[in-house]
Amino acid sequence: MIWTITKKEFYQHVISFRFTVCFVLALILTAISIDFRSLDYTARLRNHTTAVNNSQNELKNIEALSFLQPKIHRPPHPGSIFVEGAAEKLGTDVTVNHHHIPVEASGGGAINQFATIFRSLDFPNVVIILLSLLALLISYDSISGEKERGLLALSLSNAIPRHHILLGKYLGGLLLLGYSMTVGLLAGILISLITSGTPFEWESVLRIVLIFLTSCLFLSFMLILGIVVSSLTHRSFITLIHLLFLWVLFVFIIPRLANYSSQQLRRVKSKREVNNQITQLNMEMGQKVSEYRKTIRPQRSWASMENRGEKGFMLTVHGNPPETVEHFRRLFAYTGPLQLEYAQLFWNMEKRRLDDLEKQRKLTAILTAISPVALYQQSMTMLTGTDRANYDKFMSAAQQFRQQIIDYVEAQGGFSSDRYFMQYDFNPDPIETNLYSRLSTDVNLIQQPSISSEDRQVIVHRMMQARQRLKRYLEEHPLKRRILDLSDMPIFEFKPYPLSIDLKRSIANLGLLMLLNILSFFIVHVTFLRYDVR
Amino acid sequence: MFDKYLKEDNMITIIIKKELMDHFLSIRFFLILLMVIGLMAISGVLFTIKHAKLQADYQQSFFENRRGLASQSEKLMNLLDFHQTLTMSPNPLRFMVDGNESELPNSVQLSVMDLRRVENIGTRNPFLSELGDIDITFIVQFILSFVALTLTFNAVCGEKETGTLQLSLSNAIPRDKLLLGKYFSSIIVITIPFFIGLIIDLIIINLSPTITLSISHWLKIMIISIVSVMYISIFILLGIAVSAKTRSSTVSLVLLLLLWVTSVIIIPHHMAGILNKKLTSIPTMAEVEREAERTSRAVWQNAPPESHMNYNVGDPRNVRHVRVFMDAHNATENIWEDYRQKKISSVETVRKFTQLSPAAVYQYVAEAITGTGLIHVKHLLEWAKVYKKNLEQFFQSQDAKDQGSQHLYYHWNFVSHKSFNPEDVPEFIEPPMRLSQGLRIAILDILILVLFNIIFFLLAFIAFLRYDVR
Repeated sequence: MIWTITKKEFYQHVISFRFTVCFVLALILTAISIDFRSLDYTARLRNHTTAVNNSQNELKNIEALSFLQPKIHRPPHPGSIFVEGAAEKLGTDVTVNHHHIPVEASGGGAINQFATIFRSLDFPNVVIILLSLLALLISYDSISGEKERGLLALSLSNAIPRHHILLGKYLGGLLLLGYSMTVGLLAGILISLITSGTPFEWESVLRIVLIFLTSCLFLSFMLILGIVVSSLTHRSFITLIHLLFLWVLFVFIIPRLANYSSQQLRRVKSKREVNNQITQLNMEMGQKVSEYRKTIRPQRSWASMENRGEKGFMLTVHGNPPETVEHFRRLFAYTGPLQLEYAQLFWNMEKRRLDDLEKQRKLTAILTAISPVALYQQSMTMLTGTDRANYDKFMSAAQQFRQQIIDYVEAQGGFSSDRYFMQYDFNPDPIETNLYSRLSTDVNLIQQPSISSEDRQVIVHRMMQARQRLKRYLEEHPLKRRILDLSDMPIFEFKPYPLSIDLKRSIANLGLLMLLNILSFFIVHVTFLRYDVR
Repeated sequence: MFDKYLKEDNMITIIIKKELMDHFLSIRFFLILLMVIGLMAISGVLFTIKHAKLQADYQQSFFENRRGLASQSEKLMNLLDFHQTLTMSPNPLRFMVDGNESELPNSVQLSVMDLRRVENIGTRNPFLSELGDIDITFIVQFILSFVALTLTFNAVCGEKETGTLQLSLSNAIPRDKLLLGKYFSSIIVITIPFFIGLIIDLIIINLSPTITLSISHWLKIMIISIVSVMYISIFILLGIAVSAKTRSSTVSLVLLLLLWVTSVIIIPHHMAGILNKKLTSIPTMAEVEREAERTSRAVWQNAPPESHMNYNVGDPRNVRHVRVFMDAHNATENIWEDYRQKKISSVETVRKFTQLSPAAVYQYVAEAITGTGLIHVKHLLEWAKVYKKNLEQFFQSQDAKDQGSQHLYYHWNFVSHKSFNPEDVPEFIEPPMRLSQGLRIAILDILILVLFNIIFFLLAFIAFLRYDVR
């Protein structure tokens, strides 16, 4: 009997105007969104591969370990074809070096900082905006409407138990919604396979099935909600008004209100404040380095070097006197560990801010749990791996990788070794040392203010000759420039969480959705059983 | 002579009164009232908290800049590299139009030599979905327009179904008066909660110690209120029009809901997102960096070899060197400026496409008049450039006082290394956006809103005149 009622409900609505219009619109939008997002995913994957290759090529030309600052990239997740989660708007690139612990990634979705006002269309959006509206439009007159038309009294005058009618209506509506979703999903997947040919593996198929089931769970709740309100009122018109009011509340008002409130109630330091504190610390560190430089003997007299600031530093093969080499050896032996220490201090400050942001997010999650729409959206991002979990995993992998690189540099000799700050291995023979020392003496001499201008001319002439002699000597006995062999360097690997972990994360949300369904199902039984059909 | 007119006006007033009673006694009105006023009040309170924090942050930022300048005052040349962080001044009208400023860039770093890092350094949470804060334009755009549809979807066909339309028209009531009566009554029903909520909001806002509204602010608030009523009127007319074209109120409602979803949600936000990715190809930061490096290297390579070195201070060869140095520097700066402009204009192009939707048009009008959102960001950048020129003038005038400097701008070696008084450095002041400026930008969009009103009114009018009431 239930099946008969289900069929009747299904056919009655499938030919109705409200269903047709919503169905067509949902179909078009789902197809567009899936197609568009799979093209976007393919493009992002291509960018990712290019970036990874570029970064690996850069590692092949490292001449000094201070330039060893590997870049790592977070891959896009195929789940983003169906759901646009938080991860898509977060960065994807991290440069790993010793003076900064990676806190956030750059690039990625944050390319155009002026376009943050746009949102993309994804499958859950279509479900929330169109299909949940359809669920309400199907169910709002299921009881009160039928009572108005007198059909309910007629049906119940037969020997049909009330809960059979209820189940029939529910299943009919559910089938209808499931049918709309399936057609949309299949159309979208087909089109995307044709246009971008994204391969679907086993796990992806499972994820798609889970997405479908979760959407059914959400739509089922909206359906039952419609029937509940319908069985609480006696005019379908009133049901409709109440349901639309609830819809606007759940879809628009509660998520925004929760966002807005949690951001004002839970304070977070502005980035400007943290940046400022970091600048202060940087200045402090800079002063310490200046102080130290004044104390180290010998002073360097002159240096031929390549200084790229934070990106690295090295003394080059155009020759450097021994006192210069010794100067930088001592300098780096001091600044290296100092930078590691300050990196930890910067991290402490930034980590505190990240923790505050997380507290804000948790508060929002609690406040929006009133709205099933938010529960649904969160589950969808978790099941497709597009929430922040994979981003967090990447960032902690980046931090571990940084430690590995630091250990590697230490094993190669550390900050004071030739390999760290020199383009060549320092091993001058006596003639070279002699040439250097003559030039150095003159360089130091010419900086004395007490020299007369004739003496200065003489010294300058002598310096030029010494330079030329040194140049000739180095041309005849060129310093061996070495490109470092980094084949034993640690390699960065990252894989996103598998489906089992994603599922575990979303159990709470799914459980709540299921609970809502069961609860409302009980309620609708009670309210319909008491319903006066006359 | 006036009796005739009085009698006709009397007719409309009777109809309006009847419609109003119909609405006021219904549950719809009560729910609307509750929701709108409650939301406005809550958002008002939350806004005062937000604004207080923004003010504190802004003042702190100003103070930090001056302190930074003081710490660099030992050598004038430090100003070449020292960057001030200029932040957007908080706009008290953001309670009316937020413009998504929490997500957009709100700061720029500026030194005498360059302008960089246009980014958001506020309290934005990148892990929360950027839904935007609840402002008055949100309530009008989403909720009041939705309410307008629920009020008017059965204005004509609903009355036909219950038979009351036939009864009304069997009297000597001209159809146009009936239509106008329905229209005006709906406007009144919606604008009453709107204005009550607005007044409550304004009271809450004015109670806050950190917010002071000037005359120009009040003017802008009034204009936005008028524009909001225009926007709501569009949806009322749309509702009546669709209602007068269909025979069943369910069909009318479904059509209106879908039109609403398309024009308020899909076109301005989601379609815009898709168009943004499809229409524009913005290079990544890494690509632009590489191009900047290439250009800089090219400038250096094309320069004669003597200009690659710098000599002792006073040597005339330095002039050439500094010229090449500045050419390379300016070329790089231009590349970054072009990149920024490309990003901004791509967003503006997409916005043009969304002007199909009255909700988007309303948003742009509101943003232009209050000077929030993308317009505010552009305003900040424009005045930052003006400030940079002021800084350069200050720098050059200070440098001119130093005899030991070679006055070559702007190479650190050939400018003054003497100290300066940090109090003399000009302050950055971002003037508020003038209403006339905003109106100039918004006039086209306002006309579009008027056009929507006229079109839907005509549709409703014609449809209703031809409507078969049996």
